[in-house]
Amino acid sequence: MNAINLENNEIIQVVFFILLAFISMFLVLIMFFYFSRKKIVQIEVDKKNLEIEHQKELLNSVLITQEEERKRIAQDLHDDISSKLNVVSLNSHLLKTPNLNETEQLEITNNIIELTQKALENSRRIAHDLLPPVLEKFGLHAGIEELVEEFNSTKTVKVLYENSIDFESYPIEKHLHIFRILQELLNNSLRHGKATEVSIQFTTFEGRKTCTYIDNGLGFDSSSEENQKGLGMMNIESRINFLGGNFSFTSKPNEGVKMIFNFN
Amino acid sequence: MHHFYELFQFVILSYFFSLLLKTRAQLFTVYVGLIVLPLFLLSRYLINPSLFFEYNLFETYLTTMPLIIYSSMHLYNNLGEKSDFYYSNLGLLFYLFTSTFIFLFYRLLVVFEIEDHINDLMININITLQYIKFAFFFYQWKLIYFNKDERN
Repeated sequence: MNAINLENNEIIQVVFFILLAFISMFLVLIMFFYFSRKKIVQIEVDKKNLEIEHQKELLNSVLITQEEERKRIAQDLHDDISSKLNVVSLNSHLLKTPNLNETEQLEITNNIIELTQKALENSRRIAHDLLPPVLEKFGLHAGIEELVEEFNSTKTVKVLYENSIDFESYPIEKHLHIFRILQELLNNSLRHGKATEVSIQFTTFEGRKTCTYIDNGLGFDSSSEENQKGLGMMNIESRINFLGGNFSFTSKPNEGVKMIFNFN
Repeated sequence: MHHFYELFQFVILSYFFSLLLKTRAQLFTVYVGLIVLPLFLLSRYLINPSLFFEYNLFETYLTTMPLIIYSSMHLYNNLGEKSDFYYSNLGLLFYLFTSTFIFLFYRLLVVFEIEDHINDLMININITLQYIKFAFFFYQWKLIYFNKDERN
C-alpha cells in the first residue's frame, strides 16, 4: 500500500513539474512578446520623432536661408543702388541752382548719366544673381554651362561638366533646385575646399536621373555629426527632398568631396 | 552526477549572461540567482542528504528556468539592433526549452516504467538537440571569427 502511494506521489510530482515547466515557459513567452511589442512600438515612435525633428531642422534652415538671402538683397540694394541714386538725386538738385555755366552743367549731367548707368548695371547684376535669365530662357543645361563658365573664368578652378540627360522634358520649376544645388556645391568647393578641379556629371542610372559631383578640395570628415548640420548642406538636402530624390555624400579630410544624388 | 552537471551549466551560463545583459535590473536578477540558487540547493541537500541520490526534478527546473529567462532577456535587449552572440543565444534557448522537456518526459517514462528502447530514443533525441545547439554555436563562432568587427 505504502509502495503504491509512494509511486503515485512520484507520478504526481513528475506531472506537476511538467505542468509547471509548460506554464512557466509559456509565461516567459507571453512576457517576451508583450515587452517586445512595447519595445518595437517605442522604437517606431522614436524613429518617427527623429524624422519629424529632422524635417523641422530642414524647415528651419530654409527659413534661415530665406532671411539671409533677404538680408543680402537688402544690402546689395542699399549699397549698390540706393547710394548711387542718392548721388543722382543730389546732382539733379544741383542742376536747379541758378547761374550754372555750361561746363558745370555738362559735368553734372555726365555725372548723372554715369551714375544711373552704374545703378542700372548693378540692378541687372542683382537680378541676374537672384535668377539667371538663361535658366528660364534656355533651360537647365545652358544654365549650368553658364555657371561652369563663370567659375572657369576665375582661373582658380577647372570645372568639367558632362551631361547625357535631356532636360527639356523636365519640369521647369525643378530646374532651379538642381541649379541651386550645384551653385551651393561649387561655392563650397571653392570657398571652403579650395578645390582646383571639379567634375559634374549627369547620367541616367537604373532609370533615374543621377548627378555625380566630385572635387579635389580639402574635404572634411563627413561622418561627424557637426559637419552634417551646416546650413548649406541642409539646404541641399531639402532641395533633393523636393525633387523626390536620394543622395549620398562622402568626404574625408584631404580627399575631396563626392556627392551623388538622383531625382525623378 | 547530474546535480553537478546542472549546477555547473547554471553557473557558467549565468556568468555568460551577466556579461551580456545590460540593464541594472537584469544584472541584479542574474547575480541574485547566481548566489541564491546554489546556496538554496546546497542547504536542501545538507538538510536532507537522501535527496542527493535521487533524480531531482525540482533542481532541473530551478536551474534551467532562470537561464531561459535570461536568454529571453538578451533577445529582448537586442530587438531591432545588432546583437552580440545572437545565434548562440538562439541555439541555447532552443536547447534549454527542448532539453528541459526531454528530462521531464524521461522522468515520466521512468516512473511509468516504460523503458528500454524508448529510453534510448530519449537519449538519442537529446544528443541530436545538442548537435543542433552546437551547430548554432559553430555558426556564431564562424561569424565572430571571420568578420571580427561585424558581429551579428
